[in-house]
Amino acid sequence: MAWIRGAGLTAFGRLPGRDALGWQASAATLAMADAGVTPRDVDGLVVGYATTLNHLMPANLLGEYLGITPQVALGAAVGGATGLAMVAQAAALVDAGAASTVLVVAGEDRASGQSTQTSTNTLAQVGHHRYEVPVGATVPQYYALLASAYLHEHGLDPRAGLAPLAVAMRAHAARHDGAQFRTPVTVGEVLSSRPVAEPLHLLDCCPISDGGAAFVVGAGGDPRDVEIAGTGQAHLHQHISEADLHGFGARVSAGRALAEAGSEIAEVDVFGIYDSFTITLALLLEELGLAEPGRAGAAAADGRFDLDGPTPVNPHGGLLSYGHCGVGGGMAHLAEVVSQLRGEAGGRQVTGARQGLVHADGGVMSAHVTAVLRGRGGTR
Amino acid sequence: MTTDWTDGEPRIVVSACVDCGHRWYLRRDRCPRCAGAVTTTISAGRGAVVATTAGAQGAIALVDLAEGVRVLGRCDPALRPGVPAVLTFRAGTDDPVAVPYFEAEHS
Repeated sequence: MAWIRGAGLTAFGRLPGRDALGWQASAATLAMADAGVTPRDVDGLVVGYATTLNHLMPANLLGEYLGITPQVALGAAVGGATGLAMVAQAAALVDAGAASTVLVVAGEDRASGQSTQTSTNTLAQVGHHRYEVPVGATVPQYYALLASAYLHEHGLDPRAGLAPLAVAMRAHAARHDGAQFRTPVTVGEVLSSRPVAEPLHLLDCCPISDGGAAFVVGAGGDPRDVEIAGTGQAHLHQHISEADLHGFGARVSAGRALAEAGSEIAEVDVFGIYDSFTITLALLLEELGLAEPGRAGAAAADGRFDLDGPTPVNPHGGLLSYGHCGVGGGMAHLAEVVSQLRGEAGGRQVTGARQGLVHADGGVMSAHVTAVLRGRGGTR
Repeated sequence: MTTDWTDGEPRIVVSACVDCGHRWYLRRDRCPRCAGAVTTTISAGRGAVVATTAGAQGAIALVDLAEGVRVLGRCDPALRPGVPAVLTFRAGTDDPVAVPYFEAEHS
């Protein structure tokens, strides 16, 4: 059994002054200090890609920088799901006895290290190189297409179907010092923000951020350790033209993670759900069974995902408001759930949180990874 | 292999498996479901719009062609989900080849 022994999450935002390696090192140092380990103790190192580095050997690069000489090192790339995939791999390494103390790291100067246009072009390469990229589609446009299909199928407009999710994430971020955007917004402000790719407006889209996140995974023992009770994945398509719009893979992935944890989604107290766009969050909440089909926006408006609601989601503000620095962005959800399960979330604490579920997707709802986490007070 | 718009021939080629009948759009040597051999047909260019987006980055659409495959293309910004669409091909100034362009069937 593997545990998260340390977590490190930097503030996210447009924060010039560090390069990708600098953000990775900052987050790694926070996680190692949190776990009470030194670089010398780390015998497994797993590092996510950074678009501003575009290096073939991210783990070796960071290992050398920090003075870590692991017996296992690997880089990873499954888009936004990379962070959770790395944690799942770290847990597998620990369970297999291949390493005892695995450091999982991501960080990037995605906002200040490149132009928005460069970032947009880089991300657009998740499309098919022959049949989609030449059409000129961008990642916001791919998700806008998913939003268009979703709103049409359910007879919804963005006011009811999408905007309340952006409002809810911003309300959460107001309670976190590290969040990029902390000023509350209204449904009207979401709808009147600049159109990025109709039906998505600026406030339906996560920002591009600088930042980093890291975890130390190993055998548990400390009361603050959080058990990785189960992980699951599903990778059913890469490109939007081959996606099943009613089953992207979230349900399969979460089912596998919950089965491994011997638990059910109704037993989860706090959720970290990937929210690159409002439509991403709506589709994932509905596929995971946390909202009825077409009702995620209405549920958000009703407060279902608030701290004191029945299914608290992203108390840190998610990608939409805490920010999105790439691989580290999807790890912030896990860092938040770890804080919640330790009872250390302060003014964001979900009362009595003992079991958490984190889910991320990469590409165009392509790669799915789920982790079920349990605090020391957790049942079963 | 039948050439298509990505080769400069303004047409969409639909692939089908001779063994299991599965159909797809993205070019492959074998069937992704059963590894069967591939036969190809040229789309008649009619379908139903699944999704659209329009904005500063241009208008694009997802269209389910009558031959049973889903295709991404540029489109008339007025195109909306649920309507029938017809396929043409257009090249912008920076395009090396003409790309799929969908517009409403009666426009």
